[in-house]
Amino acid sequence: MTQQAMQRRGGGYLERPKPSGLADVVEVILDKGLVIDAYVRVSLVGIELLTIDARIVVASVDTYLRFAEATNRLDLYAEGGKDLSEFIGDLQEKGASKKTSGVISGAKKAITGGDDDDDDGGRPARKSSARKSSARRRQTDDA
Amino acid sequence: MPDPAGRWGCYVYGIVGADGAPQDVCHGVGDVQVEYVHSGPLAAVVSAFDLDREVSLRADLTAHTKVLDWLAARTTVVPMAFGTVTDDAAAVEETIIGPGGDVLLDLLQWLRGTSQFNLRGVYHRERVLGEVVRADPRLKELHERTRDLPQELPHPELISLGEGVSAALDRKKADDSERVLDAVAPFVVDLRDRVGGDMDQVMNVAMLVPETQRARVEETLEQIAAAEHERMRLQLTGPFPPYDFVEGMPWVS
Repeated sequence: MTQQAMQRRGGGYLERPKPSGLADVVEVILDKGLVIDAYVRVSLVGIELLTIDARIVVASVDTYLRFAEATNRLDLYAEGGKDLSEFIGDLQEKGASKKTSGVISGAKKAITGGDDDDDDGGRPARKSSARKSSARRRQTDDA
Repeated sequence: MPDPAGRWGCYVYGIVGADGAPQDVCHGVGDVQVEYVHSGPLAAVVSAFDLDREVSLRADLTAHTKVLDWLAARTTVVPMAFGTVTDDAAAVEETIIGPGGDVLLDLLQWLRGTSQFNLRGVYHRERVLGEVVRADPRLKELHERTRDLPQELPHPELISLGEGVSAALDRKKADDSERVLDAVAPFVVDLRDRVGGDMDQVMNVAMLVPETQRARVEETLEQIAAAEHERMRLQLTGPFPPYDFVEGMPWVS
């Protein structure tokens, strides 16, 4: 597992990718920035659609089954079993969020024209009223 | 401005201080040259927008981002949401600068000398799931009992295991996230949660970082990333214009 981290630029462990592909750009700016009254703002085709399609359902049976599946793919007590790196490759290939990744890559394809160069599935930004309050809470706690 | 007979709107990229408007030239959405709508101490950064032209999301998103990067490299900017178009220049003043003037001035003052950086933490799943299961005898037992069940059948015990692992992972994420963010807190002006991410994501936040503290933030995160690299990856992107820090205007819908 350390191989992944070792090959970072300049030998550092902190990854500093440069947003390059359109998927990265979308992740950074989508639904961000100052929003003015809806009658002034012209929503360019596809944007509203994307924010809706990319919604991730978190608390569902499917989600729990994914966690269970990922957990049970682990061999916590293996002795001389599978090589760890093999295992990781396996997990990355099959253990990833099946249920949501299809939707997201579909939505991303719609906006990027299929040029999906993000590393591991999209995390489209989404408006959240909880966002600000949690940031404030954190600040208050620190104070 | 091409074809004066066509239908034109005014694409708005952001708001800057009137004295901060760059002197050099930049082309924006539709490859149209960027202009300014001045209003007292503020200026809106705009370009003419052909309402009849074919929309190209790829080109338009890229142009929007390019103009904001260009602005942020030269002055302090309040970025508008992608796709903000008004009827004309007068409407920019009536609907944006007029009603929002004081707030925009405060916002520009607050943002001065800062940039946004986005920080994501992602667990190495096999390692952290191992931690979770080993730390909880109930999960350990459930794991042993259900590991050979076929995955296609949603057995109740499988759901219990997933539910327990999910909850334990959430607690672990909260702890790890707090630890990382506490370490950078002295060097950042503000933090905002960003939504999204899959089961391995520990945190996804936007940080507003003063230029003078940027190196400290990077050093601090490098130290944590080095200490934790067997459990999680930390990924820092930026600098960006302060996209995540400009909400909360009184007239925001």
